[in-house]
Parts: sequence; C-alpha cells; structure tokens
Amino acid sequence: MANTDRGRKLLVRSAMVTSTTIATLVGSQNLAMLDARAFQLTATPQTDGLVQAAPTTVQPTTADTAQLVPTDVIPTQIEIVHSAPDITILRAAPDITILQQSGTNLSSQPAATSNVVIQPPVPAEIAPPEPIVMVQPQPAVQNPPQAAPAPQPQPPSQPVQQPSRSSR
Amino acid sequence: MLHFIEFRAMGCGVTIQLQAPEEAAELVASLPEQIAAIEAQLTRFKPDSDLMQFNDQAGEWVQVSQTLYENILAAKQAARITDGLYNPMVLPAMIANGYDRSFEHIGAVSAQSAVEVPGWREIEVKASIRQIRIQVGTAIDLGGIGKGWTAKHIADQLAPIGPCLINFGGDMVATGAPDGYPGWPVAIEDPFTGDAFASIYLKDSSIATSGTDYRRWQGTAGDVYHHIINPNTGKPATTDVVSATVIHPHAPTAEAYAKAVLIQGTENGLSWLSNQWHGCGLTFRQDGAVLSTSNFNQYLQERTTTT
Repeated sequence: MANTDRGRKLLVRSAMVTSTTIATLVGSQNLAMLDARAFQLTATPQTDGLVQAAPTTVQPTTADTAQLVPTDVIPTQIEIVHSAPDITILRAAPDITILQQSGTNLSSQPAATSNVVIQPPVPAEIAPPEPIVMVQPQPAVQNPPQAAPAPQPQPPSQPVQQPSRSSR
Repeated sequence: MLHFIEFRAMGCGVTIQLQAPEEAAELVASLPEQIAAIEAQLTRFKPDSDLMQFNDQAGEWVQVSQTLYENILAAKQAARITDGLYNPMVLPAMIANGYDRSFEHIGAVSAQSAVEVPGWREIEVKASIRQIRIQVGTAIDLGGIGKGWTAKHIADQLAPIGPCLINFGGDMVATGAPDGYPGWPVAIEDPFTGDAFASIYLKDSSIATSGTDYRRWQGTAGDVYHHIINPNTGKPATTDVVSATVIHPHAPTAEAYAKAVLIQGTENGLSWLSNQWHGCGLTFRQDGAVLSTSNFNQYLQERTTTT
C-alpha cells in the first residue's frame, strides 16, 4: 500500500513538472511571436504604402498599418527562429589609449634603430659592487678618537623614485 | 625610518626600500645573501645550480627544492594564462640565438636555424612528492619570471614589518605606501631617451617591463638579436614594441604579461591585455608612439612633457 501511494505521488509530481515545462515553452513561444509582431509593426518603413509583410504566421492586425504588398515588390524573407532567449555577450572594442603620437619623441634614436654596432658592456665595468646599506649615523664617540671615523651614508628621508624599465 | 639598500643580483641592479623601525636594519642587510641563495638555485648560468642539475636529468622524475618547485609551477601557470606566449621551455632556443651565457659576456652570434620550442604542457608535475619531469632534449629557463617570483618572495617577508618596494632592475613589487604618499613613486622610463615618460604611485601591486632595447646583441651577419623569444617561431620576436610595461597584482603574472604583449605587438598585445584579469599596461612603439590600455590612465598622475 505504501509503495502504491509513493508511486502515485511520484506520478503526480512528474505530471506537474512536465505540464509546467510545456506551459513555459508554449508561453515563451507565444511571447516571441508577439515580440516579432511588434517588431514588424515598428520596424517596417512606412513609405508610399509599401509595407513589407512578415512572411510567417504573424500578420499586422491593426487596420492603419495593414497594407497590401504590391505585386512588383518581392517581400523580404525574414526568418524568425524561435529558440531559447538569446544571450548576447557584448565584447567591447579594444580599449586602447594613445598617450603619445608617433614621431613626437624621437630626439634620440632608440637602440632598436641605431646603426651603431651594439656591444654588451665590458665585464670589468659591471663588477658587482659591495652592497650599499643605509644605516643611522654612528653615535658621538665619548673617548677621544685616534682618527676621525669615516662618515656613514645618510639614509634617504623620502622614498626614492625607482625607474620602471627593461631589466638591466 | 626608511631603510634603503642597493646591490646587484640576477644580472641586474636591485633596490629595496622598507619603511620600518630601526630594528629592521639587520633583516634588510641580510637580504643580498638571501637573494644570492635564491639565484644560486634558479640561474641557468651556473652548471651546478638546482635548475641546471634538473635540466641535466631531463627524461627522469626529479625531486626538486621548494624554491625551484614553486618557480616551475609559477612558470607553468604563466604559460597557461598567456596561452603559451610565455613559455619556460625556450632555453634551447635562447642558446641557439646566442643567449648561452650571461648577457654581458655575449659575443657575436652566427646565424642559426630556428629551434622548435616544446609545449609548456610537457612539464609534468607530481605535486604530492614535489617531483617534476621534462622530456629528453628539453630544458627550462626561469629568466622570464624568476625576478618577479623573488621580488614577491622578499616583499611577502617584509610586508608584515612595513611598506616596502622591491625593485629588480625595473621589475618591482610594492606593498603598502610610505607615510604621506599614496603609493611608492615609480617612473615609467622612456626607452628612447632614458628620461621619465610618466610617474605613477604603486601600492600593493607590481610592475614589470619587457623590452628589446637593452638585452640585444649582434650577429655575424649584422642582424640584431634580443632575448625575448617567440615560442611559436623559436627566434627573437618580431615586433613593433620597444618596451612593454604591465601593472598587475601578481609579480610573475606581470612579467609574463609584459612578454606576451611584446611578442604580440602593440595593437594585438594591448587588446589582448585589456581582456586579461587585471590587465593594465602600456607600450613604447618603434616609431615613438606610446599607447596604453584605457585603465592605465588611473595611474597617470603626472605626465612628463617634452619641449
């Protein structure tokens, strides 16, 4: 008995879901048809009475917009595809800003166009120097010094602007 | 107090600024040694580095150090997000094009035929045991993101102490902002003149520049080589870009994006960049034009005008 009731409930639920789905599809189809009709009424150019009638089952019903299609004009075939709502992905055009026009800053030719033979720096010229560590000044010496201490480099008090460029 | 240190490492000048109490001086003074240790693992210019020992075992599963492991993973991720325009497997192609030693020691290069660059997906990873394998005859180079990874690594250590700016030869990571400033002051250098084209403030972000203006050398036939290899051709990228600068929250990504923009050229590169997550940058074109993604304007607070 319990299995019969469960089966009946399942059957009822399935029927409800199916009918709802069908109703949704039919409803959306009707809405699309209405939209298409409205589109035909608003988009069709009103010139000399030459109104292109939609070739589908959608026909203008308003008296003042219904026009006869002259026999020497071939109506445009517009296919209306009824499908799921379109999802339009708007792809913006490349968003590029010009900060400087070409030729405005060529006071010196870049290395890319120079005819000078490009040689890497001599290794000896770029021997790694000792790290420079900025520290606080040494405190005043209490005893008479034998020799004056070498002055310590002063740390910058403000951030030092760094150049952003290709690694070198 | 502002701590300031500068030295050379990884083939470039390094500058570190940290706003922190005086007690941080000892930590700051230890950074050159720490960075040298990282470089010793990642450099391809020393045969006994972790990287080169790994490359020598191509074809085998190799358990690597944590630092090397993280860098290779970062390189693989960079290749993924640039659809292979950044590819760490370019080492054989770089060597074939003359970049077989540290830049300052490169001599004239004889013309070479193009070397095919393997796909980055050939880097196999066993994450649970930190093992990596590449195919025989291939090799990895981390020069494209190693600086960014190291800068980020150092910045992550210093950030809890105070605002800092880590600069590896022009590729930088900024955390926080020094007192009284909206960010760390950075100048976008004009590759044609060496002057500042624009100045910006960088905060909690990173900036990287790829260029063909510095690391370039000449072949015996008079042709010019540079170090940015196009993985699709195996040869130095043919591009109208002299330098490409990218700002991104993640330093290795900024480096990879800068290379991808340079390889693609100004229009395609900036268009591509504007469609990437947090993509923002500018390029200096060979004809002197400077173009940027529109979101770069938020950083421009001063334009250096030429008279």
